[in-house]
Amino acid sequence: MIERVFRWFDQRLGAASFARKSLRKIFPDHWSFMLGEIALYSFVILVVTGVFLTFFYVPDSAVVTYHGPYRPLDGQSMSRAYESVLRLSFEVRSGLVFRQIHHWAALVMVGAVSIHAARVFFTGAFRKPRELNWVLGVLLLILTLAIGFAGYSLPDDLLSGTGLRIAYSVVLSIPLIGTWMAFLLFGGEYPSPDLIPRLFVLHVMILPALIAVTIGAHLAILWRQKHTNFPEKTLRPDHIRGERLWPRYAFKSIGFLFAIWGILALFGGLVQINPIWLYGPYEPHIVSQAAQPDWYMGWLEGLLRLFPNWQITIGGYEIPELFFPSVLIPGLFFTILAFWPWIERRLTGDGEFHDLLQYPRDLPWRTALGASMLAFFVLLSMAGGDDVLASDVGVSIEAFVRVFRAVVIVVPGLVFLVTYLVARGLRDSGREPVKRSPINQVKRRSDGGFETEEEEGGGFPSTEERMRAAVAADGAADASGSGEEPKVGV
Amino acid sequence: MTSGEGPRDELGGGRTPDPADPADPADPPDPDRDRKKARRTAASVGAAVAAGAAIVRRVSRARGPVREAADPPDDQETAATPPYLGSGDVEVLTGPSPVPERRAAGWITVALAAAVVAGIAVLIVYALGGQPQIEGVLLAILLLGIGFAFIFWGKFLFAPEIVTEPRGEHRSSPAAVAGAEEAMAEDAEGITRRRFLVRMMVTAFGALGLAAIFPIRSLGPSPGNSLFRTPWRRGSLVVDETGSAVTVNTLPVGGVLTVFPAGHVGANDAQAILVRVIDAALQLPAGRDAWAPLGNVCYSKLCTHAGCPVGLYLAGAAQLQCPCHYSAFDVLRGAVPVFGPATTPLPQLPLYVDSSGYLRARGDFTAPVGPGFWNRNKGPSGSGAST
Amino acid sequence: MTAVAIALGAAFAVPAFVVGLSGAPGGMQHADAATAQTYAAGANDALVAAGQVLYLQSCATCHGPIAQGTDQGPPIIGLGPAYLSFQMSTGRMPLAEPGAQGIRRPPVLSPAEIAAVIAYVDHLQPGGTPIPQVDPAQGSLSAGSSLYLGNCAPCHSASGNGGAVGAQVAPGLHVATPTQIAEAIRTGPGTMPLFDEREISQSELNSLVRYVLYLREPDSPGGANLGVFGPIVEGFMALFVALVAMVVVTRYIGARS
Repeated sequence: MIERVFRWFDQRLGAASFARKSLRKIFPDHWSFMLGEIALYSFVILVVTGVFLTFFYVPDSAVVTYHGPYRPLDGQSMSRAYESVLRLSFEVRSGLVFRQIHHWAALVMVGAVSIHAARVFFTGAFRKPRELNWVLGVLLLILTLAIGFAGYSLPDDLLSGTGLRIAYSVVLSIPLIGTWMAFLLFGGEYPSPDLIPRLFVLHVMILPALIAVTIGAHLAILWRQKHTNFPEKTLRPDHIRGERLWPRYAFKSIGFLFAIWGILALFGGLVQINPIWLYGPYEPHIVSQAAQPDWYMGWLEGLLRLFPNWQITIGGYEIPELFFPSVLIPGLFFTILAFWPWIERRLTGDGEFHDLLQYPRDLPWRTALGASMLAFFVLLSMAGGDDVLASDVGVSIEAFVRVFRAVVIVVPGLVFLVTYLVARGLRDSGREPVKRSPINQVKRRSDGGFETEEEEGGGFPSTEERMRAAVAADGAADASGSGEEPKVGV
Repeated sequence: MTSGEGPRDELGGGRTPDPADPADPADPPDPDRDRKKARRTAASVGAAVAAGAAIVRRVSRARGPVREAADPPDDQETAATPPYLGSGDVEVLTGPSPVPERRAAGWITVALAAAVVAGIAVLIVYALGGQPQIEGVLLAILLLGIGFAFIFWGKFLFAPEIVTEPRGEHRSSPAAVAGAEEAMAEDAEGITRRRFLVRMMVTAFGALGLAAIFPIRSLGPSPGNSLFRTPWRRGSLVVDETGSAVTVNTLPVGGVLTVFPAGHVGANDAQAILVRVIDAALQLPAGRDAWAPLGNVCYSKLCTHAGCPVGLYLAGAAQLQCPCHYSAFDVLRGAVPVFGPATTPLPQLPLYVDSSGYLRARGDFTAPVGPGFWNRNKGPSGSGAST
Repeated sequence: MTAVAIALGAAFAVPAFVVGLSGAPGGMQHADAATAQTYAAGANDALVAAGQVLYLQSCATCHGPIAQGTDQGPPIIGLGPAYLSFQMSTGRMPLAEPGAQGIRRPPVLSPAEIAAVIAYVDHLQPGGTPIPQVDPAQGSLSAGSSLYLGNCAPCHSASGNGGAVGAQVAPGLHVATPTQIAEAIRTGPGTMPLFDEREISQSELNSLVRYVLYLREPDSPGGANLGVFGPIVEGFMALFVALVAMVVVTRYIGARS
């Protein structure tokens, strides 16, 4: 039966060779290589649950009066958008579970994209020839943040409405074109009735399409370039080692997809998220304490709270204080991030092909830089919740802000120093983080020559240098004659 | 040996006899290894080996093109230098499953059975009216059951396999590159010779770009002077959120109220915050002495930092604060910022008391309300009529 | 990290929290009633005399012998019973030591003693804000939620958990008795603005208090409400529980076997 179907397609598409190659595709085996899959599978469930939600959500800011089962809001006036989310939560069967799975999946997806990016950064996986995929990855990070923020704003509740208001002010703060940009993007002076419908189109059409296309390109490039490997003692740099896609890897990966969905379903059912009915409908003149965005915007919120009140006036024209922490710094950060492969290449002068990863210790300064940036973001996110934190710790918010203005600079500096020293020490100690499979162990044991050879090599330099040496020795044995160019990617 | 995978050479004896138990104390301890884990894996492999399964290593030449530089060594050489592979070699290591097949099949059965039961149960719960917590848990069991069934299946019912093979080149061969360049160069004269037409084409695309601006322009009205004015006018009656007029004595000292001009309740840019303080304590900037009758002082409620409502009033300190980023403004001194990221005072709304005791505005706010923008101090740029 | 620990603690301790507290407000409510009754029964001379003794012992150091205030403490004469009742019944006054900050703690004085002190201070200069009568059962939940979000949420947060406000802390509202909430609204203790009858009418007061009481155990159709601390705790759960669980699964899948 399957054979007949396959033949039917092959006679039309001639895909047998491609199918064979694909099924034989090798997927290196390391848990950290599956972080991207968490992001991908979260995105899939976001689409599935999101489609369900669109059947009930009404993107309309027209004012209606609520008469529904949630009594504390009975008789209050609110936008149709907010009312539709209340209806979805309280009246549509399974609506609340789907909404909560959707929101949890969004929080998890941004987290997965971020730690996936961190893994790629710390292991140098973005180096030639994978710069393109790094850039696409940064783009995906930005798109994920944007779609998350747009979705968070759709219910038109008090908390998210306040966030939108800030977003409008941020656009407004851009020098020269800010006012026009704000008016065009938001459909006029805030709050414009066009805003909710526009956010909706962004959230359910434009951004998901962009993300899907970018993920497609990201995966196609991965498919073409093949996955990287961590260095292993018996692995040549021009070889790939892992499991074939079919059947083991495919089964495990499909299983992983369902496991992720299961964990999200558990959260969606058991842990309440974003109870908009407590926040109340958005009114421009009402605001609530503890005005925090979702976690992935926390660092921006923190920047806004900590940044000193600097305003620049040039010939009567003004660059508002908001511009620096909300546009300039994030803009610079994402620009540097996107161009990182080229920046690093400038600094290291390393223009080789790399299919083997680095361990974080192999390039201590990069690891230290990454660690200090992570510390910076964590601290900023804490500052974004300074009102909640300060009252927990029992200090005044003003004292908290003053201290944190120093802490967000000093602590990442210390983190840089400590990480650098530790990484360098580990690298110089010669202890190698090379993993071994049980099969490798048995193989090694059955071959005494290998172990002797390894010891004769003496004083382990970096893992990769040793690999290079091994290949060079191999190449010399081959006595094949391409001298000027490195013959294999390292 | 175990699977027919084309011609291959058996190397190193192919079948690896494992005379020594992997946990043999003679094995020198490896410092890098997590001992506990090593013991566990060693034990499982040892058990499998004892059960009669074998770890098999097969090496063969890769099919198809390999890296050009990698002249495959002949079989003799490859055999002489294990475990390093020649660059064209493919190595397949297979071994026994770490878990006996029957036990793994049992786990999978349990997981799938749980999934089936949960799937039926979730339907029943739904039919009975639904309950979010139960639905979530059942859905989770359903999905986790399927998920772990797949994972167990993948891990334990297929023989573990580690394949090492050449990656192949990232770049195309020089011949292929040359071929592509040649193909592109073919008839290129048809483009390079037509300089004028190429320029025209570029110009036409420029025109297309210009034309694309117009739909963008439709997205919103011109800012015009809308950022510079609010509905407050001279004589506007001050009303609260419900639309009732506010008198000079509505607020007690220490009280606070959100107010709007009559007829514009809820208007974003008109929102103002009326605070009653002890009259004598006010130290308003020069010229504003009469603007706060009997200590009723009124400011724009839009924070000058990011535009949130400064809804948080500390009566003791006579400070207005914004709960978004915690800018603080001194109510007694014309709402100058005293802490936080804001740089600009809240614009004040000048008030007077009419003959019936109601508060009314003397005019619009002292400055454009809300956060800063490029031409805030310059006034509206004359370009374009406001829509 | 502290916040994280607190958040997690809150997440799992909410039921215990609610159960643990449910005893206390009841007792306090009783005390309130006693205070109000004693006060209503008339500030007779004996009560005033008893109050004077207590006042001189506990209050006069800072507020002066006739409540006119000193450099240690503000005048409290003429403020009225509501203010005094709120400060003493919530344990903020008398202070443990002069100069300390008034925070909520178990009341130092018994309801009868509080009534006596109030009688004495009121005797010095009658007037001010009387202890408000509040009947949450008469209020409307919907009107209450609207009033709450407009007037209270800016400082006490939408969930009633409170939070930092400048150099002060807006306290959480989950332990105050209905009378104490009403007293705070009417008198604006500490840095809080006050709302009198012209701003919040008696029926609005009932509604508002009813909603504040509702916030102690708000409808949580979505499951564990994590104390309604908002996106901070939600983000923590997503990253450190859900995502970590997934990473644990990757470790299980990825283990080479």
